[in-house]
Amino acid sequence: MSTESRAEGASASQTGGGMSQSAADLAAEEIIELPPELSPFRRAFRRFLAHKLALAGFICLIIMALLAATQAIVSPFDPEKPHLFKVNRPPDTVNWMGTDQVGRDVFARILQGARVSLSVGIVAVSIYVVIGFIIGSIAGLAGGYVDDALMRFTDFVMTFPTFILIIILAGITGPNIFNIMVIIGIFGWPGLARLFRGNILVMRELEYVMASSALGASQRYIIMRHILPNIVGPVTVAITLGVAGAILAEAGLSFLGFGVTEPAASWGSMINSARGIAFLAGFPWLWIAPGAAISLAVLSINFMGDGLRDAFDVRGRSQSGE
Amino acid sequence: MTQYIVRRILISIPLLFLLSLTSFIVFQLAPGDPIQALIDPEEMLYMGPHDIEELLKEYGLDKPVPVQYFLWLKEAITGNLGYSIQTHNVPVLELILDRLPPTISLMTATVAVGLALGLLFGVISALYQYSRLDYTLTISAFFMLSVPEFFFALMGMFIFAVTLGWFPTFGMWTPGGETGINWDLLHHAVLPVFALAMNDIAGLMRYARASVLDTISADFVTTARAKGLSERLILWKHVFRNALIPIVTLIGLRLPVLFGGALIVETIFRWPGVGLLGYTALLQRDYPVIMGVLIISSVITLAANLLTDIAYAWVDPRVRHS
Repeated sequence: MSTESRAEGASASQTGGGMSQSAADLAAEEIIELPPELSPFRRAFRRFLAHKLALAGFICLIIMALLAATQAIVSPFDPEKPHLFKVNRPPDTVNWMGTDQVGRDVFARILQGARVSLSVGIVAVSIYVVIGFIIGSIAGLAGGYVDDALMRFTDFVMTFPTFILIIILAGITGPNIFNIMVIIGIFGWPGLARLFRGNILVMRELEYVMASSALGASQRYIIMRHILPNIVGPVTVAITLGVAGAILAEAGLSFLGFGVTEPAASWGSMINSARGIAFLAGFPWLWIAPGAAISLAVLSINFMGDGLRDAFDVRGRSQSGE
Repeated sequence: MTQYIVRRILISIPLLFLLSLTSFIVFQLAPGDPIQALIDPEEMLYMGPHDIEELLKEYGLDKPVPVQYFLWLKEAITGNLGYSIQTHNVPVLELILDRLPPTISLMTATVAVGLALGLLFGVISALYQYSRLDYTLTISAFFMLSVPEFFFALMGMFIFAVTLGWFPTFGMWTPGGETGINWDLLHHAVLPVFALAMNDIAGLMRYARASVLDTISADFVTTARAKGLSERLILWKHVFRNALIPIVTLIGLRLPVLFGGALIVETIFRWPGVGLLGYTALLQRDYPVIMGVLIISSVITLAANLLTDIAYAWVDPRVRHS
């Protein structure tokens, strides 16, 4: 059935499962032989470390998170306090990334923005992992009409122009960081629901799971003991890429003015306040710095996701499963 | 084939129903009441509670919400999406139909550019797997997927419009110049189309690369080689046909995302499309227009998904028989 085939495409494009080759294969061309006595997670960890781009992304992200957390120590400037004597200054040795329209230090605001972006990404994705897990596992375990109905609904959410709906909801409910987290969270789950459902369906048919069930194991035991540990890989990858997506969504919303608002800074809203043609041409540091910050954060996360995909060998399993 | 099309259309009907319900619910959440929005505040001063009740009755707003929904649905099906509050009661449908051609042309051009470059780069990348060229293309794909479209748009505007002066910064045609499909339009379209297409180019490139690599190692290709077919014939008749056709379905899936991107790009380049209309309406809290934009973009997405499914079933008989 075509909706099915389309959905496969969807899950493939969302988790990248369909793309069987990637930068990773280029970065680590030789297959690394690992000692067999290591546990699967130790092996995954070693493989992740061998993926240079993923490691670089991971380190970059850690640095960003640390800087964001210690913003008050790292930067002597208050990100929200105006300084009307030094407005729109280009970058120099004091204000590393210049100052904005009311004299606030751009670097301090970038760090504050990092806090906003990373927390929106993590909270929004946490919300939809829970929704995706509930819907996906109910569909996978119940089967029949319940499964059909839930999957049709998932298809429906996938065909909805979600970002338009997100913008509208954010516009209606008012700009507020908590609204943004929830709104992005409640529309992101379809990919994960499919992932949970698909893996549960495949795994229920595996011999060791059937054996376990024949020996009298409860459904709950089977899920916790056999199914969940096996889904950790693909779910981790989906979560990682989801955080990147949520950060982009928040940036887009704030850029349009429906996200985080003054005086607090978010990368998107910093660009929003510098988008007039006069600012664009005259004070480029006002929008290049936050734009570069968004791109760097998302790129790091995407590299990490790619490394995790290789580390957990997500493709290998999904191919043998389908 | 006919049976397949009929079945596929039947699936879309409940989806349309769900879609209308979702939009209705979203706008029930909107603050403010429609009567206040409809009436001149000055006139309101001379109205007693009785007059307002009369008006509520006249517009059917005294009825329970589910009844209101069906009343609204009946009107919406016949093409009455209500009246714009801000532009002195112009029918919403008329406003949107006016703005639809710019958006459709922007999106069509984006898909065309994305497909052409994405497939080209993907195929090159696959045919020269592990070469320096492949490495460069794959890494650039990561960049293109990570940089938000509004940052691409601003950089494009800054570099090619403001600094180099090659392209105009906003609009579809030079003000006062001739309109219609002409060079001027093409000139104005280059920056918005490329800003929007980056993401598609990268996504399709990665997909095409993986798909070509998968197909090249398939048994039927080995057979074709063993038969002594020329390499060119193998590539064009066997590899590309099988590897690239499934990508058709990806375009349908990209559309919902593309609508969101188009909204952002339209606001940056003042491209007079549906996205810009929706954005302005949101800023002015012109709810009937916002609702119309949501409905029209969802209906278009649904229709496009239907068309891609049918096109896919038409080119690949395996889909309609499974």
